[in-house]
Amino acid sequence: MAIRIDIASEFKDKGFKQADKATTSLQRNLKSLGKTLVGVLSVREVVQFGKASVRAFEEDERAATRLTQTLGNLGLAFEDSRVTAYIADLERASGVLDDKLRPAFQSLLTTTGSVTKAQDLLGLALDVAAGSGQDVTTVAGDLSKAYVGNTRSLAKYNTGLSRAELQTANFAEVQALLAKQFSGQNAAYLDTYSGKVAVLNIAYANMQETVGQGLVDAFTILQGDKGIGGGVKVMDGFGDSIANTTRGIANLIAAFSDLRTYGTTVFEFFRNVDPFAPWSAITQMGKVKPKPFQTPMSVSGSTDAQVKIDRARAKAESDAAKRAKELLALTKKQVKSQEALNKKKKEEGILGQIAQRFDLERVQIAAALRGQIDDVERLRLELMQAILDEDVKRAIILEGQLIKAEAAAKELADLLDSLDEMVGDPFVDWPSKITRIQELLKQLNIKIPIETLFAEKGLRLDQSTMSVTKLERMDVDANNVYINGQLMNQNQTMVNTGQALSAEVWKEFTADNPLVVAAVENAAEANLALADAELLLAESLLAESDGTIEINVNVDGSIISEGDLAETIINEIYRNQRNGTGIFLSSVAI
Amino acid sequence: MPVVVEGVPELKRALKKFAPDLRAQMDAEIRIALKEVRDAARNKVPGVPPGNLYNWADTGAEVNSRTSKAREFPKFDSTMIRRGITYKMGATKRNRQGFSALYSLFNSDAAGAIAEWAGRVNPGGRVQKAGRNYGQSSKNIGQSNNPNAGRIFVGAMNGIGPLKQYDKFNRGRGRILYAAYADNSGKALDSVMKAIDKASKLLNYRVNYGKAA
Repeated sequence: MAIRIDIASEFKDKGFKQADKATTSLQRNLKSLGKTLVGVLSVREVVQFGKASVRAFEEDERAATRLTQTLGNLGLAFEDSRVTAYIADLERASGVLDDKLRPAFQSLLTTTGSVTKAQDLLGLALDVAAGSGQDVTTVAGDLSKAYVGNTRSLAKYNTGLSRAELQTANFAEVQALLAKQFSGQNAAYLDTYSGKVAVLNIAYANMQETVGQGLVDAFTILQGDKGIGGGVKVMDGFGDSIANTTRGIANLIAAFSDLRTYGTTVFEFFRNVDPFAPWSAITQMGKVKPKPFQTPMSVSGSTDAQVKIDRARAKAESDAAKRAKELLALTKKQVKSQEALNKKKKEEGILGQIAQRFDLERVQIAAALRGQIDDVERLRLELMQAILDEDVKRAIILEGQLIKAEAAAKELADLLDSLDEMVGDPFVDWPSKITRIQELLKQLNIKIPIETLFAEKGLRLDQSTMSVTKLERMDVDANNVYINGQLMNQNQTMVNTGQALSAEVWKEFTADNPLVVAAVENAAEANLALADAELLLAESLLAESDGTIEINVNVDGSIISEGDLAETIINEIYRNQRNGTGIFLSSVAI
Repeated sequence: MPVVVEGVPELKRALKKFAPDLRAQMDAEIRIALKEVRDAARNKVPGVPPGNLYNWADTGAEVNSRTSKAREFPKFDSTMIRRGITYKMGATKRNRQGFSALYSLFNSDAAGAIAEWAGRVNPGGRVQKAGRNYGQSSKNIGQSNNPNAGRIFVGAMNGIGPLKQYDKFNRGRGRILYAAYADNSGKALDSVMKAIDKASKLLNYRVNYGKAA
């Protein structure tokens, strides 16, 4: 048994025979369809070919006329035959139809004003078109735009230049780059099968145009020297034409009754009569009479015609070169002014962005933090000064410093705001919080002691144990007021009722600093009297109350970390198990 | 009256009759997709028996069956295994469930099939005669005197590569062809479906408009 993987299985119901029948039926139908089509197409195709031929000829002629007119308008009418020959040669050599070459050449010619330059660029356009897969007319249009400085449309050819580089590059650079990148692409394309088919297509299209010209001429002759509105319409109305011709013959016969034309008609008929082919006289009469040549002719100057053409050509080329130089200078000027404008815009943008920082909200924040965040304020003021001075470099540096300082200030403000909440949370990691606050104070160059900041929040910070407790009473006295970061009354002790000594005072006290010792003792005595007074007041208040006593319990410091708590619970459970105490509800007597 | 062609074999038949160039194009595209899997599978086959099982290598000597089965245990010949990994462009017969595979990939060599599937049911190897427990049925057990023979063999086969599963079913696990198809991540199937779809659209276009697209 072979191992097999089935790919793309198909579910086949019992209708296999029906499908088979359907296939056979399809075969029959297609065969009959094929036979029918062969019969129909043989006539239809000929008619379609005729229509297409006439249309192709019309379009070709229209394009040629347009180009000739353009040449005339540019004062280059004498180049018409040269351009026509060039287009015809290029069509055969490049495998691109003249229907596309003419508009492409026309756009280049209109822009450059030089036949030679337009020829160069058309050659480049052919290579670029073959290399990029774009239409040659599109490429020529893009090159024309680039010639006058609009290089934006060249981005799609993947030249390897950025948009900014394209904008600043002049046309000579762009032309050199494209030539380097796409050189020989059209020749390579013609070597391919597809290229050879394209050349065949051109031969076919030319044949179609020739046939179309023949058909148009034929119908022109049939219609007389008035011409035809459109060969296709005439072909469609061929039957009508026959009917009209019949009617025309009747009219002709009727015309014989007119004595004024009778003599002329008869004379012409007998003049053309061939004794061996009498009907040829009618054919001869149907031929279009050549129109009299109306353009005045002169032989004078015909000998120096070529010299004149050469002179005109040289003048046109020099005008075109002059124009190209002007365009180059203009492009350079534009690039320069654009660069200056971009620089100015960039600087304005930076200043504008920085200026936005001084909105109302930020001013309010600054006001709220005033007096504490000295460093931020200093930076802000300096930055404002730099903006007013339009010192972009300094403004950028200060802005960076300000952003950092503001972030630090915000963090400090958030930390201080959250102290109230944290103090009730037994899991707060106070050492890290306190350390962070100290770091921020140092970073922001704030000289207010951390204890003061805590005291303003109604908290007491003990740095020796890194713990925080709520103050039993909020005493704001001279000892706790700091101005400009300096402690007032430094000679006095900081002994408050119910408060422990501060670290500094405690240090001096333990060092037996007589001044401090005396101060502490004095304060203690004063506090003793105050405490007695408070006790009396408390007792009286209790007596007046209804006996309900509200007890507030404060948890001092971090009691335990989360991991320690879990461990403690587990140990307790183990202990209970060892003691035989049930830990589940079912095992506890309720 | 509209003519409907239903099913890929019917489409292929219609293409063969009315647009042979499209049929050739479609087959070529599908062949490329299948060849990619086939070549990947062939590349997985080692030149010598995996795990240094040198006695399994085909030396050309005549081999006799050592079991009750008439056919001998196949020898490992990497050339034959690679040759056995192939694909088929024709649709299979409809199975009992009514499904017909349009294209198939094969690992048809016996030794290749063993290397592909060994250890799928018993990842630790089958119980051998020598290691049979008392009262255990002798049915479907190995005939080796080495109780670890199955484990060693499966371990050696894992040297080719792990068992990979190409579809959601457990049965679609293998080391060579199945693994190559699993590594292909459905690209082959996608290419096949795209080729069929493209050919059907082109045929439809030609029938309706009488032109080459």
